[in-house]
Amino acid sequence: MGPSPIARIFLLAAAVGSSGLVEAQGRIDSDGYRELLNEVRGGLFISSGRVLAGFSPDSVEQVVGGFIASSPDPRELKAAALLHTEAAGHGHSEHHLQAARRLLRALPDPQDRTDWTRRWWLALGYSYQVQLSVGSGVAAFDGALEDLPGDPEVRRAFAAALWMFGRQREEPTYLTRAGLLLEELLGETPDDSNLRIQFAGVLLDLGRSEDASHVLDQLGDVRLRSGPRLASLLIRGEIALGGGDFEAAEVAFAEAVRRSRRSPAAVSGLVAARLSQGDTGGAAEAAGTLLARPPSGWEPEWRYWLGPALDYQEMFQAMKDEVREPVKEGGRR
Amino acid sequence: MRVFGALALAILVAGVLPAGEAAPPVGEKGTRDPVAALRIQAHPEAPTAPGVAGAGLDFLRRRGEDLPRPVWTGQEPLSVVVVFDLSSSVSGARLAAAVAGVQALFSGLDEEDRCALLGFTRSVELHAGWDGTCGDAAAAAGELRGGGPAAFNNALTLAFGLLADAPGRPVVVVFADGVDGASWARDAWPLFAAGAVPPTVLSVTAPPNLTRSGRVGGTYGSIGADDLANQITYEGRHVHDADRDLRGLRNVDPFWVLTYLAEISGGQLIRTSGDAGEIEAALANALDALQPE
Repeated sequence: MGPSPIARIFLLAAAVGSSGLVEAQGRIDSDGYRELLNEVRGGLFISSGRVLAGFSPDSVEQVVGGFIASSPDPRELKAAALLHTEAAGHGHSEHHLQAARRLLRALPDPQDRTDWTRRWWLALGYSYQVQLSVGSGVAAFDGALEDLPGDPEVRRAFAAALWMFGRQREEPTYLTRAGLLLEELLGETPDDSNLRIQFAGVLLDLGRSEDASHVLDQLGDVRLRSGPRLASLLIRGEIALGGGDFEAAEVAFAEAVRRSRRSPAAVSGLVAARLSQGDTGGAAEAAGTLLARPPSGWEPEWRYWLGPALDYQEMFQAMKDEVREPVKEGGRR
Repeated sequence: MRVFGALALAILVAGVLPAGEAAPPVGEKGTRDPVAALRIQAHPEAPTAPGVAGAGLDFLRRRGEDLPRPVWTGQEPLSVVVVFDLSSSVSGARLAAAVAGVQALFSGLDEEDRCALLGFTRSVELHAGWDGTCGDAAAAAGELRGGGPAAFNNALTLAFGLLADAPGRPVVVVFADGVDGASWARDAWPLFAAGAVPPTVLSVTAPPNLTRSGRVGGTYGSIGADDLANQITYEGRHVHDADRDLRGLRNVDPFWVLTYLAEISGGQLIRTSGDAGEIEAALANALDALQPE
């Protein structure tokens, strides 16, 4: 069996440092914990996280409590939170993620606390989203909303993830939650085109094609960026396909292909629309053109779907860079 | 509150969210009254309309009598596209067996037959196209490597496109072991794509791999062993139930589309137990099901 989803996430994260440390066993004490934090401050996140994951959860919980009670400075709290995040990829993930959360809650400055809590939760939730780890992703965004109730950025991210998860699984519970969040967000920023497109997508996936069409019509002639434009065309194409209007479906999908030639979704839609009308030559041409090019990188619809989630590794790295000791000239650190 | 490992929480939270209010009138045209008329229900009832998936099936049912059904003599050259699942769950012995089966299938074809090999993970890639021989396709199968989620609906729809104007008898051979987890295209899209001359669809499936915890890993993570057994024995009874809401049907049977396509195209669906030898033999002999009509 391969590594767990979260282990895969953190194995993918940029690694700095050696892996020469021997995995620890048993209970950790405050001196050992401080030692690991020093390693982390020097950049050894992965190896330190692996070592920490080897200790018993109750001793970790105890030592974290003592550490917080010692009033460490904010940078140490953040470094410790990232150490536990790393450890979560190697074992006792729930305990370590709860410890990270507890450490961030101890940040004394409210603005700093909110900022770091948001960044940490979003990076974590995004990592699950990119890995298509549905249950963990939903739980992470739920945790984010619990710590940052009403936060617009978290709600936007959660809504996008719920739509993606719900569509893939044809899961009405996720789609309904996505719809409720999007409805709320659209009430606050009704001119946000992308929210409107996402909402139309959710409605379509809930079987409400006419409502989806109505929501898209409200966009009017607004100028869209490439991702949202592709999504709106795919949604329109699918509405038409489902309604049996194959000519309209072909128009929408052909436009999507014209603007995003490497989109398998757009080409698949065009193939389906053309074959529905008996246009075998047109379908063969569309499929052949796409398949003549080997795939490279994220497909356009995935880039749209994942959006900011694709940056999760950079988000973690930026947080790590902030807590590391500055490198001294001519020295290791 | 424990957040991780609390997937059930998400479901519970959704359950206690306030239900939508009664819909007020739609605003005047051109206003940006965003969504007030479209209140979402926290507990949506199954829609009376069957949704897009159902629309695909309805389309084929309506066209049932009109679908072109060429009469094959068994003498026509074949144009064969193998659609091969390369997602993470297809690995080790399962991958080796499927590759061996497909290589045997390609190797058994005649010179006048044409072969193509379409592998899919999140992406769909043509590993061997019409410009090569079936021997080339067999060699390409030996290079297949797995990993990632499965964009099955994209791959199957594109395979229909690839075969749309192919000479001879068009045949799709599918190997898959789970539900689509990476396509924008929905389960219904291949059904719409089958609306022209449907190729004969011959499918070999394996049940999704169970993890040590007894559940299916990866994207399709909510299925336990009992559900899986149910899938294997389900045998496509659903496609004849015209009143069934087809949304979410993949959670009952990930292969429901293949079931239907096999039926309308005069093809075959073999649901293996996942045993490597069974997979290899089913793929190697898949074309035996092509009987002259």
